[in-house]
Amino acid sequence: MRSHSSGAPAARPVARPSQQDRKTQEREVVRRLTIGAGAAALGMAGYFTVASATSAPVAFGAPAGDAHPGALMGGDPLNDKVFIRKVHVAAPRPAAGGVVASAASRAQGGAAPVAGGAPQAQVAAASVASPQPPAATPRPTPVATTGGTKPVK
Amino acid sequence: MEWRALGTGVRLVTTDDRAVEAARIAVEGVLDAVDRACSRFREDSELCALNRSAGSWAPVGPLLLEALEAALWAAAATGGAVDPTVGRALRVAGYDRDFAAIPADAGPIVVRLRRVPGWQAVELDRSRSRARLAGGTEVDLGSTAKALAADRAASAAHAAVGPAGILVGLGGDIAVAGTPPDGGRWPILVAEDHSVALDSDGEVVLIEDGGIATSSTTVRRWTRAGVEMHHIIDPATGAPVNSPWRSATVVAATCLEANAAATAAIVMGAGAPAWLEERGLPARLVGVDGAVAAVGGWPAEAVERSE
Repeated sequence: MRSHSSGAPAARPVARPSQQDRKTQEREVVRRLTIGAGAAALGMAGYFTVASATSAPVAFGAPAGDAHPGALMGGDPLNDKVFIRKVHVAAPRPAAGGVVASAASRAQGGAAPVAGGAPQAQVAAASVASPQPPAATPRPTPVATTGGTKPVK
Repeated sequence: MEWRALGTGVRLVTTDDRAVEAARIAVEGVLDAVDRACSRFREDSELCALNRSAGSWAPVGPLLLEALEAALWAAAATGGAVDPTVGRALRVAGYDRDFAAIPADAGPIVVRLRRVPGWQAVELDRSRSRARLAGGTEVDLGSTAKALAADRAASAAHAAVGPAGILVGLGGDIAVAGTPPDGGRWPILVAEDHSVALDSDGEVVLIEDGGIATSSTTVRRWTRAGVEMHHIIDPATGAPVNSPWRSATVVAATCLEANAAATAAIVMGAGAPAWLEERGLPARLVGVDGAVAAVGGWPAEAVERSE
């Protein structure tokens, strides 16, 4: 009969975790990693949000005066870390008083406007249908000129 | 009253002769301040200092800050058609000094077609009164700063002289303030050349408030190796724009807005009429063949073919 006894101490049984324990441990690790990564992401999100608020092109500031239109800028909180910046850039506005032709131009009639797209030649409209053409009104003397400058010869 | 400033002609009109001197002082003060802050051709200007320090933050005064904001607004509102970061492209094309000092004709130059850095390359830190340009970026405020100066000058003169009507014209960019003359509106001659005599032939339109501006590729031209150059840069290529329109005149709530829309129209080309119509901006577009298009409520009866 062979004996299993020897001088060596008998090996003590190792407490092996159960499968359930391992699952619990793994779940905990995953949870910690998730929280860590999430926190890091939120931190980075916060960083980028701050960076965008301070470093991105701040091209939309309201003007110092009312000489030109500015832009409205606002922020909506997505959560306690992330804000969404909303920017509205005002379009060029028409003048309140508009623009009208001088009396002389109205009296003389004029060419129909081109509807748009490529420029086309204009043909002045003749007022042959009017039995009593409007009296000629002297053209007002302009006070200023808008335009370019002819090329230097 | 006329004189020269900002490299162009200045015209000041008041409805009260007694107010002329006070108005002139106010206008000169604004134009001098704008020149010191925004000139690309003065080594001691704030803008030159900002361009030299591209890549790092540089201090900017309130006027340059406002001019930069105006330029960035114009860029955003026009979808980037009017872009202040064309400074380097203008310099390479030969517009590197006051226009009067540019040789009308010279030898060949090398122009590499590439998109300009773009207005997003300009950062403003209003709270610390500083700005930063991305490395290699050069800003030119010529388009919008002149119009902004006209608006500010008209407002300053109006504040100085009271209810009298004020008109300030800067090289064809016109801003009005106060009570218009007797007829209730300001008669403005629309011409190819803003320096022609006021009794010259051409359309006369009447505006009551705001501003009127003209952008033109017939203005500020020069030649390099036989190739015609001009000062309106297409941000998409960094080269003078090739537009179906040779000039665009726009009336808007301010001269700045009129200028931005007029320059945008040249750059946008065939898409300009629809863009102007959508915004209700009255505009007169002159094609390269001289044909005139009236859009956005521009008075059709005033339209005359431009020779």
